[in-house]
Amino acid sequence: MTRVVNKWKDFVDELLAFKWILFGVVIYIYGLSAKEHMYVASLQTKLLLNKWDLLHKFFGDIYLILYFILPVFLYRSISIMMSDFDYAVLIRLGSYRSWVYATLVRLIQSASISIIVWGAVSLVLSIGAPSFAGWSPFSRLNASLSETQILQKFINSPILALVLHLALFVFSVSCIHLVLAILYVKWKNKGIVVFVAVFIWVYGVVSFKLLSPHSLFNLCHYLILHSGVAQFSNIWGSFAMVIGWMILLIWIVNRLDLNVKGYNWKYTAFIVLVVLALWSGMRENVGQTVWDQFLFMFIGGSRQAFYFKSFLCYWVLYFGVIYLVQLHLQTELSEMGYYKLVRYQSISRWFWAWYHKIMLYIGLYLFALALLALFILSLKRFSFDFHVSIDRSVTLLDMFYHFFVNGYLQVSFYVLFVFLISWLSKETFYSFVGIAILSFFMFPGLNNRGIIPSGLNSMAYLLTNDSIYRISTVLFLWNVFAIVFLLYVFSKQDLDF
Amino acid sequence: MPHILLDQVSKSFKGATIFENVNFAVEKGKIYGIIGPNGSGKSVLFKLICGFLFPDHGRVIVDGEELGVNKRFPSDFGIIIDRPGYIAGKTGFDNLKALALIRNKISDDKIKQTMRLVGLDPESTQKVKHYSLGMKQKLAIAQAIMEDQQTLILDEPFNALDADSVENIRNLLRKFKEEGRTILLTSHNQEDIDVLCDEVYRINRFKLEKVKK
Amino acid sequence: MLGHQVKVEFVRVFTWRQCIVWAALVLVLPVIQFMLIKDGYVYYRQLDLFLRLNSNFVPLLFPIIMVLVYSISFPSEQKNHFIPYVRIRIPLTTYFLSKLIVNAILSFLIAFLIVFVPFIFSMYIEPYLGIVRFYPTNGNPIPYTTFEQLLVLGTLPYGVLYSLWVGLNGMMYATMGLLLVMILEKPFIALSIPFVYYLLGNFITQVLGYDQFSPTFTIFPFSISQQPLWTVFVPFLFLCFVVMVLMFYLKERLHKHHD
Repeated sequence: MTRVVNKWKDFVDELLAFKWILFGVVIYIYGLSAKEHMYVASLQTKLLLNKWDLLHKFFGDIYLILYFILPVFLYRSISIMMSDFDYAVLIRLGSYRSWVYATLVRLIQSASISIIVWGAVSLVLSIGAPSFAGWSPFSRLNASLSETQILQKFINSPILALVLHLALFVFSVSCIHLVLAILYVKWKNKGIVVFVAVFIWVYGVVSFKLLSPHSLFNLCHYLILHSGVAQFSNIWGSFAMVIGWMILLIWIVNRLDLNVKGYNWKYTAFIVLVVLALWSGMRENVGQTVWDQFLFMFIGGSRQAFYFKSFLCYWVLYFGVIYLVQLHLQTELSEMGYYKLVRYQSISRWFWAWYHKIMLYIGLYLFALALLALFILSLKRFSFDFHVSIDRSVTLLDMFYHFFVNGYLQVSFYVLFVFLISWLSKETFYSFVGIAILSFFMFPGLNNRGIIPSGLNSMAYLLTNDSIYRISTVLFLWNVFAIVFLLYVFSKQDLDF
Repeated sequence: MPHILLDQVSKSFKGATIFENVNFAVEKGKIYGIIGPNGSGKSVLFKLICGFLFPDHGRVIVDGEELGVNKRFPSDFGIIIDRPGYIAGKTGFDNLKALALIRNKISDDKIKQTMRLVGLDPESTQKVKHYSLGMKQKLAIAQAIMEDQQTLILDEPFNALDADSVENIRNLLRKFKEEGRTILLTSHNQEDIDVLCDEVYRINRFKLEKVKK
Repeated sequence: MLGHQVKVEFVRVFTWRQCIVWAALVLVLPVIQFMLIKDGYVYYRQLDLFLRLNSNFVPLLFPIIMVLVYSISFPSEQKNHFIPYVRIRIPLTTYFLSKLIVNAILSFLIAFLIVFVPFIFSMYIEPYLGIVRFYPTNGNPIPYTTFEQLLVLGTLPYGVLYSLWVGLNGMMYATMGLLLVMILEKPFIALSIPFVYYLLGNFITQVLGYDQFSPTFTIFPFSISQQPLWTVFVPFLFLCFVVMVLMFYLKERLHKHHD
């Protein structure tokens, strides 16, 4: 009990500290002039504002946040890290991961205090304005003169808007703190962390001043809700981005304590490439719905439509993952020996054990790919209407069937193909040559009957008059053929490594 | 099974080798002394043992668990490595209290008792920024032992202490050894090493060499 | 010692089987390509035929072909622990260097021939055979490609110079492959990296909109409009840089192992 009381006492002590009073004073002074502006705008439009307009102004003002609040938080974040990074503290926390979270908790405590102070000052400033009563007539104006005028179009209740805004802000600041803390743990160098913090601040200002307001790289979109809403035309874009970052950072934090020698960059590189491939697959001037773009992202090539760039994207998305499978296979086969086979008792049993895993991974990969594509599309202003506008004959069901079922069968065939060649030649590199040659049957004129299992899961086939069910049949038969052939090879071949 | 085991450990910083294929085993309940010239890597060794640094090659195993697999820092270690950072504007007691709160295993009384043990006044309102070097050192020792840590990693624990305090701390360490605790320490004073340690190692040409006693 | 070792390597590598493989590398893809393109396309000049012959397969498989010339045989030496036996007879650096030299010469020749043979065929032999139909331009613009700036020197010098350029690039990719095989322990990764590098180079330049610097288009300019000649040196110099870094790294590593 006394501990709880003590904690509260500490909290209140902290709240009344000189620095927070100073913090409040700065906001107050800035708020006075901001208030003035709001009243002028209200007079000019002859529409009445209320307390919500003022509160949203004080909490969401870009200049205030960018030039004052953000630097204060960056400073606080670094000062917490510096004071807490001590071997006596670390040994008690048990891991760097706990240390990062401990500093994050302290930062969030600071953030709560500052938000209390910030809120109190804002309330004082809004004394005299018309009282809280939903969105004011001023905020209902179809313009972007104030924070509320933007937010009112997307969120029903002003208090919810404020809560979401503060949540976004705290999330973003936490992300920044995590970045800095990770860097500090990795390099244990104050200079680097201070440099990065300054860089983040300068970047925030420069991206706000110099980039177009509709650039995804504008930091304000992720710190300030009304700015993000204006960018994405929905309230979730900013959150999606920030939470995406958060997940990535938490993943990194959870790996901080692992002694991984020579970090494996291949997955990171692959993800970056996949994002690039999907991003460059969008054709913004053709097709308005998300599903149109989804189709373009995976368009690949058919005998009637072929673009080199789409071909390269297909390579990255599908053969890229096959490349990872080959890397895996290479180690698997090189470690393959009697000792492993003895445990499995037969090659085919060993193969199934391996292939089971791969089959699961293919499914997960396709699923992740679809989610990633939709995530990227949510950052752009496409409509979420459930139809494909570029070709009305294509239903969404067709599209998903083609993407998942034919995609699955196609990738599964690639895996079997790669395995077969590696197994027969005892050298994984030849399977790489094989898959490269196989991919050329996507070129126009080489696969006129659509019976060679290469790139048959390209979305381009939806736009031709091929039946997607025929494609499934073809792919299914190839899979069966490959498996039968493999089993034949297994039964024929002597075991020799 | 040794309590702490360094298995083929190599470590270098920016091309400068500090350790090369070091093997070192620490048994429970003994006092180990590490000697070596300045910059030979005594505190690097301690940081490796505590998991603050990972070896470039090889493994560090504490109580059968390799650091960096499931666990980062070994538990129940009391350490003095580098100069501990204190909150300068608080008293010695408040500083210890802040550290104790992390694990929250011991009472205020225990903290005060430990402070008396090392020769500090727990009721003093003197802030740490006004402490002398010796008092700060005592505070460092206090934090390393206040939670009854079973393994103590002490880099130069006798630094800046006066003769009486040195004797006091030596006796304390001897008592801990009798209780079965394990202690690793460095000192530039040969006498400390001679009178306290069961085994002495010297860092020489990137290896740990056992010194005959 | 090095000269002798190079000679030994050459003798070792020139087997009937190997010569057939090389002939296949040079001839098979252009022949298939010729079969596919001899009808159904409009050609204005003999040169268009040559350029068309040089599209599709060879440009995309280029680094793979180059690696197949010679580097592919190296991993089996590693696998069969041949190297420790070599080591006691000659210094490893000499051994590796001789391999690299042989690889460079062979891959250069193959890459050279892979374009020069179709060049001779389409410019000097095909006119006698008359397999392909040519059309008058009728005012249609002729799509000029990079390197045609060299045509002012004459047709044959153009062919030779352009083939030399392809040969040089092929040599670089092959050298990169072999160096990686020597450095990395995993032959699959090592041998596939030149191709992955090439493909990613294409992908990234495409995505960023700098087609004129893509590895493919600067060696096989068929699908891109004429670019100034200096552009082709940008990816080439980058490639040279990568190869040099790898070479340096290998050297350092060999020294370390020796000590």
